[in-house]
Amino acid sequence: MNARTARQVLRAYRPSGEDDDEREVVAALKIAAKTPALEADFRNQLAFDRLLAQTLETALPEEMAASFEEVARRLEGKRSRKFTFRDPAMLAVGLAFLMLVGLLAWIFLGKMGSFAGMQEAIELAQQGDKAGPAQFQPIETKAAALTDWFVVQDFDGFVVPRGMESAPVLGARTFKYDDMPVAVAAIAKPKSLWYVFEANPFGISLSPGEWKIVEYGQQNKRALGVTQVGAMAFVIVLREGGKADLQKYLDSLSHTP
Amino acid sequence: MADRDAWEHPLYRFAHLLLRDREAARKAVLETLEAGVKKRPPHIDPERLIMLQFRDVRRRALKSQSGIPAAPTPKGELPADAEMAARGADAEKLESVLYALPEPGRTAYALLLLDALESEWIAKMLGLAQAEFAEVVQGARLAVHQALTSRVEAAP
Repeated sequence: MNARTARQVLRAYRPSGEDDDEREVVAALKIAAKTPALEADFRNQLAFDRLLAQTLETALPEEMAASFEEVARRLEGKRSRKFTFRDPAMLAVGLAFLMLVGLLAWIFLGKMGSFAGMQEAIELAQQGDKAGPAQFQPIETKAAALTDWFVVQDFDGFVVPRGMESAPVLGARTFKYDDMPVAVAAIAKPKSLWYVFEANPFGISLSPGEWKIVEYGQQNKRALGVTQVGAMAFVIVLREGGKADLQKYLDSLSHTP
Repeated sequence: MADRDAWEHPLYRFAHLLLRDREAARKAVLETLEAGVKKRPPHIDPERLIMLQFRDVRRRALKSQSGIPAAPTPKGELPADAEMAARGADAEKLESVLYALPEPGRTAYALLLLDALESEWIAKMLGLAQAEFAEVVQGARLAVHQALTSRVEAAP
């Protein structure tokens, strides 16, 4: 860990000290101890945060606390047999299963010359393409600012790859594809639709920064690019232009996801 | 009764910070918990279960607020005398400053101060990578300091 990463870790440090045993925090504190400027900034931050945390500490009225506790206990108590992936038997079965799946995927994908989720991404985009402008809620903002708008629409995890955060948005909507929620943003420049959804259920697994690009459609060919940001799949479909234009746009981005 | 971590207390404090209304916060927490009881998946990590309650409370709070808050995020480090601004803040003042912060900084910093969830879970809840989360927290921290300082200076 270098000083920059240590600073990053310490910025997210909980003032209660609950994180003190975390491996990353231990390493960051060691770096800080050797870096006077970082140590001073961290001590200053800690003193500030601790005072604010103390100021926020208030006891709940007894009656309110009791009513919350009653429901919280019901919520916690609904547990069935605890299932843990740390169980050695489960781990062995899981690993064997993953190896089998990996082997099969390697064989099939090698023959297909593609990746598992591409067909799903195309079909999802084809369904999304059918939406008219009236189905979008007009919003004028930047792409990165849509995350909370989608939270309000009951969609969590809207993300865009690095470098695409400031793209101007014209509208947004959500829809379901195979019962899975999909967030869609209509972007003014480049004129495109952006789809975000959970990658795993659609078999999409791409390395950070990796893009797969295809063209689909018979008469109106459209260029589609897929990447993955964390647990979410991100699909861009150009409304104008082909694969080369999409590649050019992606190359123009200063950062990779 | 002391055998459990009463995470529902910070849940309420979090709701109150987002809503600035005791009754609305109480209602949001109870509705969240009741909904959680109904739709709780059978096998779920307890920490994830708690994170989902915070996420649900946040969603309810954001739904009741119009617009997408946006403001320039300050960057850099706290000044060396930042502690003084924190000493001068009472709960009412601090809550109003936190309430006025743009999202997701408001949620990120509030949950860190409330010691409600591990930072990793807060980042997951907000869909942020750890590096982005650290930046968001720092931006919110600096914004709180700025607001507290300007209030202290403006005070007679």
